[in-house]
Amino acid sequence: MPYKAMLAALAVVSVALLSACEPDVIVHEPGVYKGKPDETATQEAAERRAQPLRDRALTGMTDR
Amino acid sequence: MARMKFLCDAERCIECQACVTACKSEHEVPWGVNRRRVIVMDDGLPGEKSVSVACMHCSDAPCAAVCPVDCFYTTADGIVLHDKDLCIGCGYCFYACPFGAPQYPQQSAFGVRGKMDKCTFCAGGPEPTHSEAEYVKYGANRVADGKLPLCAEMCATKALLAGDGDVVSDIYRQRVMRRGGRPQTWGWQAAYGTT
Repeated sequence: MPYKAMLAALAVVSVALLSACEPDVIVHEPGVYKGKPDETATQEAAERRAQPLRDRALTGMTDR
Repeated sequence: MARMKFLCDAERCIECQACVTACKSEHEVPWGVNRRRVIVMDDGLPGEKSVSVACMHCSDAPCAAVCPVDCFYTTADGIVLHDKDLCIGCGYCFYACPFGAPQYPQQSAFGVRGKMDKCTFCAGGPEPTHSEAEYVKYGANRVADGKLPLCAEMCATKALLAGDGDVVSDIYRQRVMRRGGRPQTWGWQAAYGTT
């Protein structure tokens, strides 16, 4: 009987300990970038630099 | 939206290695790491060709597909970059890359690999623009200043083209037309003759 009581007590303690686990488990989405954000990778930044880069290519890489 | 691309005109490349030197100098790339290198085909034989190769900033980058820690990202204009703070130096990207672009500095004895290093299209990385951390980890950010990669800008024969894919293909198309209207890419004449 003490053995059964001990098992029951152990089960109660285990459940109590498990219930104290962090509920907000982070599940990472595979194949999605996990690093720091890059301010120059955005659509706005790319649009801002597109024309100057185009002009520079036409100036510097065409034959004179 | 522009998509940034490299193109090396094998008819013009003279294997001067200026692109390699410019890259190493601009970004202070560590010893043993070559973000760009010149490959020579049929060295010393008639018809020898050379091409300058680095990360080609693939549209569907295989390096990003195999990365176990997902440290790769592509900018809105198609530049493939990575976060060195996440990289674990596993080498999967090196096996996946068809151009051999990913490089690893040897940081300690017994060939232990450091974090992966590759061409950034002179666009830095995920650190504040022009910060010291960005320069140390990724090199200079020329694109943010409206400049193109130094390897292409330094090319004496203008063999190496870089920039918006539309502009690059226009420039190359005009060259091909001047040469006689045939795309003189490597192996074309051998495979299809002169007609």
